[in-house]
Amino acid sequence: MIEVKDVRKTFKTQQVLKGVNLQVETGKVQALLGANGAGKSTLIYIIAALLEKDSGEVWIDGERIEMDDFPYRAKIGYVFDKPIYMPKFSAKEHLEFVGEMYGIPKAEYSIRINELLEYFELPMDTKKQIDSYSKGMKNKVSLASALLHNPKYLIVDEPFDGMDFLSVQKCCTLFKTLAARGTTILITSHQFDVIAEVGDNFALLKDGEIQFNLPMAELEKRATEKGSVKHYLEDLMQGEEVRSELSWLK
Amino acid sequence: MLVQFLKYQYKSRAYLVPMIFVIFTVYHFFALTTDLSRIGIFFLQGIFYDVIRRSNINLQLVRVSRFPLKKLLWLHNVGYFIWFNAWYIAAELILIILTHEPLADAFRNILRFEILLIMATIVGNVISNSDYVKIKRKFWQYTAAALVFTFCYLLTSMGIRIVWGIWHSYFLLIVIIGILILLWRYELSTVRGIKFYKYMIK
Repeated sequence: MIEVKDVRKTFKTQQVLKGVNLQVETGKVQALLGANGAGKSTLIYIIAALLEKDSGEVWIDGERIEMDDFPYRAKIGYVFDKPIYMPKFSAKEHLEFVGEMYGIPKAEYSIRINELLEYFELPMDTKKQIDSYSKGMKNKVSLASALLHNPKYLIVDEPFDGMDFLSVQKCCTLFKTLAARGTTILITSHQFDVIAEVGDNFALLKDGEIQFNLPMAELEKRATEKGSVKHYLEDLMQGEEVRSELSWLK
Repeated sequence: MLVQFLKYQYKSRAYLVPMIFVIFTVYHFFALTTDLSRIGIFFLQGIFYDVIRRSNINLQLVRVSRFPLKKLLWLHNVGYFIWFNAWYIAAELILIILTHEPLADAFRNILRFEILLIMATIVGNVISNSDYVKIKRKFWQYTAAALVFTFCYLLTSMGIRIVWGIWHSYFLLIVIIGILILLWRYELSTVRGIKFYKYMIK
């Protein structure tokens, strides 16, 4: 279980997180929703112990996590909003490098890499460098890296960026399979239709706080007046009145 | 892992950078001046400090994979050490063929080169993990690092000159290399975390 307790973070004068509380249950897919700049990535970075929080606590498997607290990281697979890869390596070479970094035996990681490359339909040859891949392919490399060490927790920030529809569907199926097997997944995405398909619980981060954390059925109940969950969430995210048209386009 | 590291440096063309030694050697042959090849280390000083960023490995990957930073630094150092040596030895071979440089002189040059190279690596690692990273402006950061590096480079060069001038001993130069390797290992063992990381994100 991942537990975030009263986490606060300020960048210069802007308070991004104003006391975030969130519980992610084991074996569930937790969706984290929010508008651009709501602080989703900041929260992800803090849970990943890559960014120092001003105050609050993060607990994973009953252990309190601090900045640069390395021991627990082997349990977690990360996909950040900016894909992580070695630009001059091919997908295969990069994954081999990652396998070495995680200390996986060569015989083991070779099998896993071949399967991951086939699954994500990434080039098997070592000639084409990741630098020349499309955005979606780079994200697939990043996701494959996160899965290579068979993590217990998967933290994914905008994983579907640039991916084609079929690949997105495949990832959703994969996430469901992983969750059913006991992997806990924390996911953020702006593509609500996709995230609705894969998520078990949905938390909305707005004004630096978690506004709610509900299962889909509960969310649908709340959204009855608005017609659909999507419209309900759109209204919640927008908040105050915003400009909906441009004067010179009238 | 070292092979993968060398492969990555090869793929990113980083191995071509120390080729400057060959250029200096050819210049030395035509201009008949003193051996300028070792000056290459001085010209390439940027490679030695800011080491982790220059290794081209994503820092988040290093951090999330629990990969020991000291091992990363060691591999990066050794990788460059091999490329630097490959080109310097190639340059010395050219010198032997073209100018019939005595083997003893070539050996002494290589020993001097190794001392300066290890010193540069140690200073680079120390600067990378020092408070100089707190200097906000890149220009002043690099200026400060360059000043420290230049001072250490000149001091070591002078030291080698004095040692060789007084004792004329290859053995003593080898002893100095041994001491520097121990210092190098000790310095790497003290590396705990990526100190400048927090100055890089947001």
